Amino acid sequence: MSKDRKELGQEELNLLRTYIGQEINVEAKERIRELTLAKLAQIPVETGKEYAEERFGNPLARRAKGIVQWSRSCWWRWQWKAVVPLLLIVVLAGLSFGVSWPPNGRQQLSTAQSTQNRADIPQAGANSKPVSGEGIKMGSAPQHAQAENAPFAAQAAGAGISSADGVSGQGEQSSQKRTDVSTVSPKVAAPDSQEQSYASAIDPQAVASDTSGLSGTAPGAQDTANTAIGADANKTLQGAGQTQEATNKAPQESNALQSTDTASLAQRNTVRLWPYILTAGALIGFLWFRLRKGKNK
Amino acid sequence: MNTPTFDEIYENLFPQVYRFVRLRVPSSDVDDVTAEVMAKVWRAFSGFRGENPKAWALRIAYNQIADYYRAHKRSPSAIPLIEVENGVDASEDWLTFLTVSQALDKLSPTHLAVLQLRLVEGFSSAETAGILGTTQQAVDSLLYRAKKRFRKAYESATAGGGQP
Repeated sequence: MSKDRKELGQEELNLLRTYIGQEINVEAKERIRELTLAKLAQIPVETGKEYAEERFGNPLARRAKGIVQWSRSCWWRWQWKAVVPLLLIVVLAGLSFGVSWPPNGRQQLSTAQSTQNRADIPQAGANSKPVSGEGIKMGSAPQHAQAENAPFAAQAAGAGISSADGVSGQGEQSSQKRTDVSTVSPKVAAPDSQEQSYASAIDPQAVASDTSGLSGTAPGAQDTANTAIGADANKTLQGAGQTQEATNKAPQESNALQSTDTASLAQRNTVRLWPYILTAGALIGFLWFRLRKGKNK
Repeated sequence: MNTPTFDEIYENLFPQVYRFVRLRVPSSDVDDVTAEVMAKVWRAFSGFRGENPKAWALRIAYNQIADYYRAHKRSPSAIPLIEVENGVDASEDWLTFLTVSQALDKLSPTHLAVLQLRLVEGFSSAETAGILGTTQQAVDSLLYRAKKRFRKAYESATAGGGQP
């Protein structure tokens, strides 16, 4: 220590000690003691009313003092800068990951689920390939009727009718198989031939196969109807009309569903990166800000 | 061992705390900051297990001053003490004190703290390091540079006649 003083010079050191280590004003000492006691009192506004009034004068000043004391002791005053950004990050991350609120979002979610289920149909269609094979067979029945000789027109008409019925019969058969398939995918179940036609139409692959069979059905049925007489022919025509209608509908629905399937598959295969990037960026920014602040301390 | 009363703690620790604070905080806020430090010292004293309560109290004061400047968004600097000096004969010592004040004003807050704690308050290097939150070697190095700069600044101010 003496070495330090010699280095600095005794005179300089004395000046320093005199300047920095000045005697403390007694008045200041007592004033600060009072202030310290007032701070230690921690007067709540309700319970320390009289003391506060004595110390801090009018009620407005007292209340202001009470609020300041409360806010100083409040946990929130020190932590909000950490809590609020974290809550914001959590909420933003939730929103970006697709969590929706209020529960109206559930409807959107169920809609999305139904779309998802619909997108599952191609798989069911793939499972029901044998059914589409039946569809071809179903369409071939009237063609077989067309192959009958002209003298046997009535018989051919009967065959046509029966082939029209045969369409139903085949449909039932198909629907039977479809019901079997429906154990794999219940959504494709079809109770009768009419529904079978639509079920086949929904199934893009099945329709792709059915189309040829059904379009084959239409001329056959038409020819049969030309040679047929009476209500049976009408029946045949009706059957043919329905078949033709199904034939026309099938490719359109098939195309629409195929495009939807492609889109949903592409969507399913694409990983959404931006929520992850957004959340990671927010967290990194928050941590960087907090650490930088801590370093400044 | 009896627990010391508030008055005992106040009488024992107040002078160092007050001197430490008034050299770093504007005079308008010295009372408030010092009272805050003394209140914290009193509240925390029951948990104090160290050997030197003065160094411990100055560590609290050091943190409180840092909080003060953070809250006011200003950077700390040495505060001239001429305005609070009452017992000095202005005709003889005014210029001398002004010269010392000018020399101290050219020091960094850390150098000023080291000079005050080591040379005026008489703390050891280890205690000073504890107060400032640094190492003993750093304190020795800081003290050497602080003395050098103060001497240079004082000589320069003396040569200039002590005029600002």
